[in-house]
Amino acid sequence: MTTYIIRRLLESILVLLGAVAITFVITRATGDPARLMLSDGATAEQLADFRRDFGLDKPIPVQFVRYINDCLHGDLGKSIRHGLPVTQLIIDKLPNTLKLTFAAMLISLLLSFPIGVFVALHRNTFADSAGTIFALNGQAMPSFWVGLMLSFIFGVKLRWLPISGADTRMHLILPAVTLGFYLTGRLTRLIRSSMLEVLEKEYIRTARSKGILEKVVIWKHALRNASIPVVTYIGLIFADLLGGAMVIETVFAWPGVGRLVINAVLQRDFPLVQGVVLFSALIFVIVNLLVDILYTILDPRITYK
Amino acid sequence: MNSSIADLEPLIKPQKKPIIHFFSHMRHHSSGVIGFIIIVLIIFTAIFADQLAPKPYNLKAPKERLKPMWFMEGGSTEYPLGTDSLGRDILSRIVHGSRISLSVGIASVFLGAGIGIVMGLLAGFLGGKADSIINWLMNVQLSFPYILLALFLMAAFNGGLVTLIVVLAIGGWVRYARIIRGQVLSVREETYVTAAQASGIRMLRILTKHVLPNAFSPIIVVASFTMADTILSEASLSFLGLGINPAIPSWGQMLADGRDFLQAKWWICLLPGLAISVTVLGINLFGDWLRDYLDPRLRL
Repeated sequence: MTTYIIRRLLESILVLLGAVAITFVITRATGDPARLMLSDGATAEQLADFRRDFGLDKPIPVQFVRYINDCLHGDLGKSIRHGLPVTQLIIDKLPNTLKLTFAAMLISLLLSFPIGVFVALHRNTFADSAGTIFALNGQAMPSFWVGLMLSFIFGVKLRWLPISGADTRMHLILPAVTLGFYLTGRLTRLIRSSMLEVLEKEYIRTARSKGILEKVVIWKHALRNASIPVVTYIGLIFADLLGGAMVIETVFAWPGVGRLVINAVLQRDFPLVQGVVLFSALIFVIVNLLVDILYTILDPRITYK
Repeated sequence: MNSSIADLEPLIKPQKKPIIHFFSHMRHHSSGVIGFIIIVLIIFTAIFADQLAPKPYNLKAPKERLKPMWFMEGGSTEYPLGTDSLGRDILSRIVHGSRISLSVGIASVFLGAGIGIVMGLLAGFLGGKADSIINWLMNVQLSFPYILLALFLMAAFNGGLVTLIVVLAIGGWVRYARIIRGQVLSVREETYVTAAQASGIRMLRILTKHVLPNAFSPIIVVASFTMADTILSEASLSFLGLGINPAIPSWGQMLADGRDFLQAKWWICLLPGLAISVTVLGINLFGDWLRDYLDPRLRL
């Protein structure tokens, strides 16, 4: 297990290095980064100053090595628009994004597990069709549109919930439900199909024939095994979920990394964008490593060599 | 002997033509039928947008701005779904928006599939370092939110239709590459491939004759789901202000435009969102059925 974790950590470092290289190459491949980041009206002197300040006057390999070295020391550069260190800006906003992402995941798990199990147990009935339609709709609706419609209904018309900002816990409800809805559709379908597969297994038949309570068979034996693909899926789509959070943050003016990066993209603040890309990659590799470890808890038969 | 064969003949069902089999299978699956009808309607709308749209999509009528739908107070049948903040007919823009969604979706799905198939073939057949590098590239791409990469690329390359198609294709290639790589790895060790290699048959012929036909079903199914995701991604990028030229009607752009008027003129946001949802739902329903039809064992 330890060897496996060390190997995975090394792989993760390579992936992170790749993420840094890609963002570095994109900003350089599109021409002079100084021209890209400054407005069109910048003078030759301003461009030269900018290049010197950001080390862009050095050869590209030197710039890359220096950037990697800075990253390793936790220095992701300085935001052009904010004039503050990128790391500080991200660390300030990251808790809000993670709060939103985890709240959405919790809502989604609380909804999709009971619905997924219920429809799997009532296969080919009206409940199954209704559950499938609900799940398909969740996948088909653009999350930003769901967010706009929910804020119109619950914020503008009914005035039950706030529609922008992050001052109180109530502010979290609409963005988390919106993002959770996006994930619920996908998870419900996965849990349904996974449960249907597990319910056909020999060990479930054996458990039933031994007279174990149906509740125990379903919720303990079947669901535990049906959860393995769900855990894999959550690990795989975690990056998507973070991306979804970024769009939702824009809809609800939620002060997270998403809003920060979208404004950074629109204002061509590339050091900040590079920093956010690197941070998302870091979160992704950590989550996937945790998912791999969680497998062994869910299914002790899985061992890593 | 002859009589026994004659007895068996009525038991052997004549093979249906593939197209007839396709539709007769679909007929028994409502999701496939609904999905297929939605897709045909959207394609029809996209092709005949000029004939179907009651007005030119960019015609501004400042006096008619923010008109409600026909059945609401102040609405008129001249603008059945109302007008936007510049007085443009919402129905006409939705009709033309189908063209953008479909053409961008189809082009990027083809490009993504092309890149993915080539990468998958290279990874699977060359193995070794090539496989490691391509696998590493796939892992790197999956490690950060796709929408973030897309935003970054759109901003860095100054947007535009071609950039948008390439960016959306980049979002999908990994899925195809994984399927093809898996197929190549399973076929590579087969005896008939070794025999074919030994008898001097070129690698390209082996790949096209044995590998690609086996991967056809999963690729078609992945393409259908990728198409749905692509339409959603295009809408998200347009909504965030990094899609194609704002003058061209795109459903995501229409949603972004209507956002400022959500409190009083909610239908401006409602209708393009419905268009996106119905289209994606149709493609997903059809994709679901297609998976069952082509290979029910697929877990995509």
